[in-house]
Amino acid sequence: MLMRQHLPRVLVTVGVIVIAALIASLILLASGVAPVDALSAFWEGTFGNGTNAGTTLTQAVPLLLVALGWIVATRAGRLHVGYPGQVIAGGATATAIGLNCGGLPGALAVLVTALAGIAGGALWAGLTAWLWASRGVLEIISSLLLNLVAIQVAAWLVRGPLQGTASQEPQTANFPPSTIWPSVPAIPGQTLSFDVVLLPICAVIVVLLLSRTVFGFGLRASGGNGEAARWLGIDPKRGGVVAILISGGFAGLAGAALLFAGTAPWMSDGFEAGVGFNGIAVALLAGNSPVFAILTAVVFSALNVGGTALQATLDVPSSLAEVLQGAVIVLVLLAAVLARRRREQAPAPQPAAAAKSLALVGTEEV
Amino acid sequence: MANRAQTPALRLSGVTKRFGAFTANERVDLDINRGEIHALLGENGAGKTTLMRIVTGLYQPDEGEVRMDGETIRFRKPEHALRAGIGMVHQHFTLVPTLTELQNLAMRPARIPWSNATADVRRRSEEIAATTGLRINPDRMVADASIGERQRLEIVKLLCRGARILIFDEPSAALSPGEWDELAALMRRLAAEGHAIVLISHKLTEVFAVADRYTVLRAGAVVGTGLVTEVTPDELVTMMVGGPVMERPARAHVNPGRPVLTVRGLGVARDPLDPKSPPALSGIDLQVRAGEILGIAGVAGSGQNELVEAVMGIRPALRGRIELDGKPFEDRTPRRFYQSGGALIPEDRHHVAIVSGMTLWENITMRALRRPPLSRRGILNPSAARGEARRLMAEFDIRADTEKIPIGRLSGGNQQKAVLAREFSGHPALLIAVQPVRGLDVRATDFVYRQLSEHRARGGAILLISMDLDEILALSDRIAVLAHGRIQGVVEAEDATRTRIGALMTSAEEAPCS
Repeated sequence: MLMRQHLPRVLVTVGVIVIAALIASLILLASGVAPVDALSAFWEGTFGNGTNAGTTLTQAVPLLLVALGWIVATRAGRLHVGYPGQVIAGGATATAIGLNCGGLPGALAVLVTALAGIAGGALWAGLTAWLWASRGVLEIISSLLLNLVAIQVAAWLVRGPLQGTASQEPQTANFPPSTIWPSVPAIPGQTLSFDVVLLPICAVIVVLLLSRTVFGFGLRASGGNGEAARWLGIDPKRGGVVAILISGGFAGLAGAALLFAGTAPWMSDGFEAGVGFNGIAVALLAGNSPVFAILTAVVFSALNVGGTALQATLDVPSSLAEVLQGAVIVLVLLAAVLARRRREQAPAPQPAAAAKSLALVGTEEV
Repeated sequence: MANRAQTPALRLSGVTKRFGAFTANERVDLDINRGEIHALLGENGAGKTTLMRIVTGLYQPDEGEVRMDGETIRFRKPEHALRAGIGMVHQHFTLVPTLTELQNLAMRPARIPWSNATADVRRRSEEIAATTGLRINPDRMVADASIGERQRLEIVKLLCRGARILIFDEPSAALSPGEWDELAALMRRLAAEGHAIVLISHKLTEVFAVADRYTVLRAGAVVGTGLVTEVTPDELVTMMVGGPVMERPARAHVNPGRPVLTVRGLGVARDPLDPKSPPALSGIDLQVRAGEILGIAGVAGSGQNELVEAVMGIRPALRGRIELDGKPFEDRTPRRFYQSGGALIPEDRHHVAIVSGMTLWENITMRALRRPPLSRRGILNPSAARGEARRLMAEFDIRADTEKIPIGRLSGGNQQKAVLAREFSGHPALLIAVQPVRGLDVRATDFVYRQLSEHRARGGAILLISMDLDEILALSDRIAVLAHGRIQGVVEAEDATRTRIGALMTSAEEAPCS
């Protein structure tokens, strides 16, 4: 039963991967590299050994967290795109607090940085939520513009108040060792951070929140038909605001994870590295299913990590990975359009009044 | 002309349309002649809409053919049908409210993309006004036009584009009795000029008032066709439902009890954000008692929506007091309205009563879900909720294979039954029902009326708001007439006649709105 329900989505995911691989092969051939060599280098670089697999999985965590934020906000009907800004805000807040937490015992310091990240991201998202709820500013516009603000603030922070004293580089001082999130000691290079447990835990939390709580129910009703929700006594504004805050919290936690479970123990101004928008792609590729987003987050992370590996071993430009990610996003949108067309051909005595016009909002039943 | 009269304007023969395993139309034969009004009857889901979508080019038939003036036609998209002269007046208007009436008329694919059609359309609309008497108000925003005026604009739009076959999909659903009479006269005039008119309707009184011929569809197939003069209403109903519908039970006498809803001196501004805008309602005094149905009669746009929204707390009131179930009801919100014992069957089901993407059970339990026993401390109990939904599906005769189907896939009648199930399941003291049978077929209408009567018999209070005077007269114990935002009078059911109510509706045309 479960399998039959999810089979189409699995097929879509596999189909997208296969077509993306074909496109990659063509590009590789054009740049004079045998696809077979590239594949083996890609595999070696992503899952070939424990160290690289650890990197791939660890880098999937921020992507998934952003994707979960998108899923919650989208379910409430709030399409905001402020994830890059919220990742930066969360990371910067976690950094500011983490740098001063050297004296705390490890577990507490880790918890404090995580909570600081959540708070920072939620506060930044709060601006968007407040503008939407009280002033009627479209959340998609305000969040997009606040991304630009966040990027500049981060650039100022690492050159100003948070700049490390040791060098003149635009980056903060090294984080106190106790605040670094622990990693699995058995993996050489310590690349597998313990925060990978967040992958299943957060996905399940989001599933339960949406399907098993009164709050999540109200959220879905607000997202499905805000006016009906209002007439039925569910406040769609309250739901929308909380959904934006939650999504900001997830993005902020992603920012903290990028820094404190990342490769470099300091914050520089480019640390966000596209995670905010790639997280949206992760959610879309998973058809807005929290559980499938785990899989697609790992796929996206592998594309990133593998792209770097290809550059190192075969001198393939690392922008190939970005081309592939772009191709995947386009293919996913195409698949969504095709799936919708197929649904529309099915008999529908009453065309659903709320037929969504955006492929972006395609949702699954939790 | 004589030759034309013999060839039907539109002839469907053996038209079949399937969606997967489901056959929406099966070998339908239909002739529509010029100069006649042809009524197309059938229950919800009988295949009327699918058939008309084939005629207007939205769907292509799987089998059979469509001939227009004897020539086989095959439209690939609605634009082709319009060009050929087939136009449909939809139940939900296809107008842009933020443009003027003239701009709406001019909005069409032009042969020369940069040509300005406005002057041309203005001339055409004046020609139409001269021949049919259909006058529009070219420079008015569509948003400021009433429902009847919008419908008129839709018709002018089709005529402007040269439509000779006009299909009306339940045109009276939104109209007041007076507006309907006007439309009926217009349809006859159009037919007399040689247009072919198809009238899709549930209301037999309308069919007998204007139509020349009828065709009844049941389960996708034609079950009867003929001249309206040679058939009785009972025969038509039997054809539509496949068996006689039970008589509505005579209204049992119920002694009205305590007041359940009391409204005193309610005033509401037309623009909710601007208290200084002209009033939509002023000095409204109403009382609905337990075991009584208070009907609100009035033409559309007399302040009905504002009244419902103010009582619900969707729209702020300028002044006035409201008491609900014996307690003052201030700081109104929809949530408090329901908590205080209110329930609502709104007019605009798709917009405000259901979330079509969510399942049937979620829609049925949408309000109960937020209280024990279906949820505790914010955690839902989905299996209990589904069980409750299944119980209500049986009780309210909601036909669906499973409670997990998205409610948007159900027919309009079943959706309305689901709304009824949800609203009655909370045992409300007061039910506000606005046009509760709009767009429903005979059987579903009968069901809704029965439920309303039973609620009244159980001692519930009902505020019934409808533009259909027959509905108000048939169900209400007392009738308040609303016109221009004021209550023009309250009439006991025994004393109420169409003329008396109609007189009250129009009596205070010049009522000063202070």
